[in-house]
Amino acid sequence: MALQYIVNGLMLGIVYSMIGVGFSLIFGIVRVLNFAYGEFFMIAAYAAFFLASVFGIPIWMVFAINFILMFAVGWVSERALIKPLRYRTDAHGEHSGVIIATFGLQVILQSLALLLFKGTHRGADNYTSGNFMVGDILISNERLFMTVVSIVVLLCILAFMKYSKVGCALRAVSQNRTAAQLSGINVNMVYGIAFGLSTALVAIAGTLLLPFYNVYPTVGVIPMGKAFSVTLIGGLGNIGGAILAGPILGVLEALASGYISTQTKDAVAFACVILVLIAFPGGLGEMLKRIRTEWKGIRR
Amino acid sequence: MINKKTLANLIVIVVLIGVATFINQPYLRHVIITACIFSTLSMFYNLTYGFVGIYNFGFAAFFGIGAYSSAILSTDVGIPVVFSMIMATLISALFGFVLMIPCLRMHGYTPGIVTLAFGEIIRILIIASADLTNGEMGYWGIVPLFESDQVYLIFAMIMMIAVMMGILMLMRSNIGLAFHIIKDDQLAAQSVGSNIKAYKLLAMSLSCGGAGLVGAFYAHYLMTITPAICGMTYTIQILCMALFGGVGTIVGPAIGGFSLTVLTEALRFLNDYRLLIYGILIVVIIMFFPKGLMGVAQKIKELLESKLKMEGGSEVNVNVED
Amino acid sequence: MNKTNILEVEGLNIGYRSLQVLWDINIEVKKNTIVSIIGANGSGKSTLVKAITGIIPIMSGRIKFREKEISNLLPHERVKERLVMIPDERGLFPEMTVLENLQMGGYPIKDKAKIEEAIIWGFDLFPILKKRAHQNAGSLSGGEQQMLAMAKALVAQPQLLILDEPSSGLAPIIIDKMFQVLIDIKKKNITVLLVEQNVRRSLKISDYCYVLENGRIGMEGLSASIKDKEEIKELYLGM
Repeated sequence: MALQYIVNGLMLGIVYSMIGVGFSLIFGIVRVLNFAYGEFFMIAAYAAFFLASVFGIPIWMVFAINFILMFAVGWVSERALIKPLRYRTDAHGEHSGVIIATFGLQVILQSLALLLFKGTHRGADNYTSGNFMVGDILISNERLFMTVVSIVVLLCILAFMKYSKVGCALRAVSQNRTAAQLSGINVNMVYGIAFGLSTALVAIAGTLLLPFYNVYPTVGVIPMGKAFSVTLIGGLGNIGGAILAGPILGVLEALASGYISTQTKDAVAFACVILVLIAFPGGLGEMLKRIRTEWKGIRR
Repeated sequence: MINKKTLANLIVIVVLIGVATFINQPYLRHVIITACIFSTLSMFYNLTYGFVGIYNFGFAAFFGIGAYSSAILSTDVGIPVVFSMIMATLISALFGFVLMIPCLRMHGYTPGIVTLAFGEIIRILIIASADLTNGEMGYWGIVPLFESDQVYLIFAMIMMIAVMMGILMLMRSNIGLAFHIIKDDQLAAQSVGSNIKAYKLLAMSLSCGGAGLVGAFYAHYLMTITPAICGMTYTIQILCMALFGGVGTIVGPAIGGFSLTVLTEALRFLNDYRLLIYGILIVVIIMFFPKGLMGVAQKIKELLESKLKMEGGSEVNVNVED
Repeated sequence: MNKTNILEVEGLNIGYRSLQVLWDINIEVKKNTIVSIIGANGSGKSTLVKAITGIIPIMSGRIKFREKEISNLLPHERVKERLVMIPDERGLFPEMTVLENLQMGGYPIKDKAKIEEAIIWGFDLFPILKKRAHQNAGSLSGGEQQMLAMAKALVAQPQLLILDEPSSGLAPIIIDKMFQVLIDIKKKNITVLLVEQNVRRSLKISDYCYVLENGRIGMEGLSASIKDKEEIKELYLGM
């Protein structure tokens, strides 16, 4: 029984990783929390619903459209909301105004959705059907599809960040913004790309999870909670940590949901996050860094 | 050593209270009491967000903790209301204190997320502990604090003013100075060696305890509470009020709380759009009026002052030429 | 703009929010020279070069570079014009390797061959960098980081290279090496603008010198003649 929970949790957890990576991208590069992240998920889910269920557009096209569409949404949001506020920093050098702006954006988007769509949940059919057994464990094709797509997307992002020129520029800005400017990198453009990429990632998650969660105006709180939890466990801004933390969160939730109750699974997840943070204020990412430097010390 | 501006503000408020005390119309009374409640809440929120620079996105949960604690202690356990309110305040303060401890070690915005998570945990727990709190249905039949509604009104107004004066004195004191330093220049604060952690804990405890006190009052006034009061909707409203009035000032959040509550009631027909308007307000304020109403008032004052100076200057010239 | 100058700064006023820190700065940097800016701590040297590179905004005044007005260009656009600065915190990417940092230096350069060439030149100048090519920049010592910063800046094919306090925190041997490199690159038609705490070394290596005092230009002239002035002796002691 436990093994089934664990496997389910791991698979869902990869999607959580993707959600977390998108959120961490923004924090690592633009140094802000995007409170409207969950609403972008919601918009993408609605788009997927209408494209797939109402207009009957083939699945792969839905993904592609959503990716590009939401990238544009993220880009525009950054230009409209973040850019004007970016030069306003408080004494900590932090963009506190920006966070509040994304907070406000979240309220606006959710309210608009509530007004437009009211409370009805709209469901969509699974993208695939059927399942198979591995030993005692039941694996549905739908979950498998979800996991595989997420892994592929994550690998693409990692490759992009490591090998492409733009990806290097993104990493540079996250490590030292001033040095990036002085190296000829257009930081404004990088911010826009980071926002767009982040939104596109959560859009894929939204499209993938449509059959699971259905879509309704307040669905955004779910991915927001995952984003927060994953990035806190993994370390804000730490991509590697987010990838690790996703499956961990997934397993924790599955176990809590199975053994305690579905109602409290969110509370349990949050509580675990806080516990991790008490031990490692910088999240697992900090723990990873410590291990890496220790390892290097030993090797010398 | 109260400067003229603060004195003027206070006089205005005292006059308002005087007028309000004679209000007998129940609906109007209710609106003003609610306005006082939210003003006070905004001021306590400002204590951490505006004055010390701590992000507390789960603030409403402490309001709820105070409300539920006092409700249960007085109605189920039978403790006299006054004592249950005091205990509720202390319980909320304790929660704030304990939550802040791990947050002290965290970098940047992490405490913001943690407080948000905490708020959600509390809300879920309250719903889940239905045998104690009656869960989603809400807790009814809370023991009232006073017999007459008029007394509630006077109490609410006194509470608001007392808190305002208290915060004023606090910010004028050494503690307030420390708060300013922590917010404005963490580096300086660290080099001076102030015990930053202690001050942050103090600010958080006061802020959360205050929210608990107001929550307790709210519970004994309405005599019915639901878990929704711990939710993001309330935190958003309070944040918006603080921003609207002007974060980082003493009177600002109170004005924001008062005016927004009254506006919300006055524009009741827009209730469906209420949250949407709050959202738009938040964005508009942060982009164009970051200092809120107080900031706008300040700018107007500066504009007037520079105009007066110019005219005054030319008068002086005339005299000299004479 | 005078054709012999590569950089001209006219009437620059710079401030943070409402606090002004630099008043009416006028500077000329002739091509293929080394110009130094010296002054006590807090006199505004770093602020000045940060404004020249566009990292902080100016209140009024003009900046002309290679006969073009650049006052309104964003920092990365100025780098594309071949105006490169090594900031006081070195401007490196700590989690990238030495080699990656050098490649990032070549970000605005389109010609890959030129980037390769410049990286090889950097390794020639500073052999230790070649040895540490695959190590993270953050794990290098202070001196090695400064060398990397220099090599990285050179990959960007600068026509004007600005250095903000390059010698701070470095051992004399390494400072010697750095300053020797500056003389070498002068031969390659790269102009250098040097902001330095170390008065003696700056005056020794530079052709022309500006002295900043409390946010204004207190004195300027050929380094050789500035060296012997009485007021400067105080600055020597100040270091």
